[in-house]
Amino acid sequence: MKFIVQTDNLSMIKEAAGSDCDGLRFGPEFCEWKIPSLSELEKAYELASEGGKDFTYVTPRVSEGSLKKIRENLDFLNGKGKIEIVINDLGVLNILGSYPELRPHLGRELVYAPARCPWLSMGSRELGRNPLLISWKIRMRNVEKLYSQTSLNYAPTIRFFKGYGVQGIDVDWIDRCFPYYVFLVKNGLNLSVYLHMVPVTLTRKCHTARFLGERAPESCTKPCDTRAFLLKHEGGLEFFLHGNVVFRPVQPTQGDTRRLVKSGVTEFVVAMNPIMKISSQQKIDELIRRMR
Amino acid sequence: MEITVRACLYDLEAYQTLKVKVKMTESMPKILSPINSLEDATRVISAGADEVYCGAKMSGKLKNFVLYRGPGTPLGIRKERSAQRITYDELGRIVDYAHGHGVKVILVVNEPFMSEELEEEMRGHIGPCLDEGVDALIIGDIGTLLIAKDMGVKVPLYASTYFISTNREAVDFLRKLGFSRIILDRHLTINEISDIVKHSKVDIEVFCHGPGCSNINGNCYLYHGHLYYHLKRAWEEEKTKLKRSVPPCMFTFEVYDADRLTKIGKAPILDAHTYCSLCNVWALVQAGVHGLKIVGREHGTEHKETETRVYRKILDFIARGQVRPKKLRKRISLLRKELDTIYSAGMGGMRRLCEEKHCYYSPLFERSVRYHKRFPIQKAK
Repeated sequence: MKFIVQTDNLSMIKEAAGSDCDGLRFGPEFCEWKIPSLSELEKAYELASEGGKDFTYVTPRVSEGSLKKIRENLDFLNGKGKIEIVINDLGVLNILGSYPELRPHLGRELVYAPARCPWLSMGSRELGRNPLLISWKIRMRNVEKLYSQTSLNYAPTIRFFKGYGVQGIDVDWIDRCFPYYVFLVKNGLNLSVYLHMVPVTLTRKCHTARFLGERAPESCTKPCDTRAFLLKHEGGLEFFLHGNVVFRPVQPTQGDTRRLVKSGVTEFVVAMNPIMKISSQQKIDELIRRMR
Repeated sequence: MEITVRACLYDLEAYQTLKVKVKMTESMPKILSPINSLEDATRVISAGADEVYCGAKMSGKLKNFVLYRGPGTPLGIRKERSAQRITYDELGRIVDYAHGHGVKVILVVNEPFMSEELEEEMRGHIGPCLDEGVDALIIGDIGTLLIAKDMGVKVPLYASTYFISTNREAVDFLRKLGFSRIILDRHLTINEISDIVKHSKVDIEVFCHGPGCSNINGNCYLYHGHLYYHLKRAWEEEKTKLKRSVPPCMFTFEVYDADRLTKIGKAPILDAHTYCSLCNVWALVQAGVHGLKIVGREHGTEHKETETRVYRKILDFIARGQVRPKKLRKRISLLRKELDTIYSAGMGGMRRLCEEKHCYYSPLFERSVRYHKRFPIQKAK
């Protein structure tokens, strides 16, 4: 069982490098304006090497301008052995063809999982006793399984991505999906399961930046490095907003970790962010101890 | 700009009034209108649609597995609101009618998902649709693409916005897979669109009007139509306040600092306002996009017809070479009023759709900041 810590922040990676984790993921998963510069990447790689940790580079979905930055970073990593690159953009997968040493790993933006929908996790108790629901529930029973699968639960799709060198994918900690992760493992994919936060929706027109009155993405002061928001609705909805992503929290348990390990999952990802307040070496170690 | 003018005798009314439609050259974008019935097709085609797109009624698991194709039929949501209610027979009649008027019919099979359990049903759905003579398929998932290829589909394949193409490399990747047209993500700026068009070897299509998404389509899980019932309480709260139904991304949330859990204020914090690009059509024409897509298969016929007509008028206006800024602004303002008539009639507050600052394509943040200033966050007491 491997625990990997993910961050896009250089000061946080210093904390992570000293922790008991098995590897480091560096780079933003969702925001192209947080792609590290070459010097930051070099520093992060150096810290990982010094700490004896595996290094993975994470890339978000990008526009043309940011692809240049990613190319520069990939050029640097290309000579460093078989490094995994988490891709969330088909364009990045396209350019990885010219970096044979680097191994693509599908990120959460390229793995469609209907169960990320927050309403799906609501039980029938919340729905009350409306007679209109009976026929709907019968129909839902018919397709319930589908809502727990991912877009990779189709063997030809897996073969297609394997043809591009993809060996692993990122998935979420959604317990109704666990039985269907077995199919992915059986088809030869390495699964990295994110603990804690399930992305419900994301945008390029950053909600945090707009809310805080940032003027332009190029000059964004990156308030999401330290701030996140809890969103509550009178109708009983609750989400977290972190940067350009809306998350719903989940609580992983040790029992579920064992269940996942039994079904062949070997890697768990801990994202350092202000929502879960995992920002120090001590906090990471505590979490890993609890989950192991 | 070469322009050929021909009389289009679309229907009796058009015949009687001898309407003359300006037919664009290859460089003018095509208007793609949504349809959900034969009546929709006749009306949007007479309003000037160059192509129409629709879904067809699915059966079995495909029917009940609703992701993005609008609200399904259950739970008191009116049947006509479903985005997939065309039967295979009706599809055939639509194709005949459209082809008779020189208009292509594009079939949407773009759920961003495929599974072992859906494969046979998807084959069983694509087959009859092709038999009815559709001209192209919009596909939103690699699995569905592989099925279409395995079936030896001969019609062109278009990459749905669910592939979320935001750069040249992504477009190139999809081109190599066999797509001949790519529908770009809605969140690109005009400069970004222009750059992609300039360097791509396939047709590029963009969204131009309709219910805009503040979030990225293929990564948004707030919109699973049939699950709206779970939101009943929240939905009713919003409806009382706003006097209209809005999707969850337009709800007003209480915002707390996640760290200290102190209340900061109340705001529609997930709403980035993207609806219309009337003011930017000229820029999109200059960018060289192949198609302008109007969104809203589940909308009323009048909506689709008016939106199509308005975009037809602005394209015709541009094609006539009358693009002096003052004249263009005047025309846009007139057309906005025309759009306003349908929104104020049916959708109350959605008149704001056509305000310049809410256009689809503009710098990512500036418009939002302007909105932020205009509607400041209500401070917590």
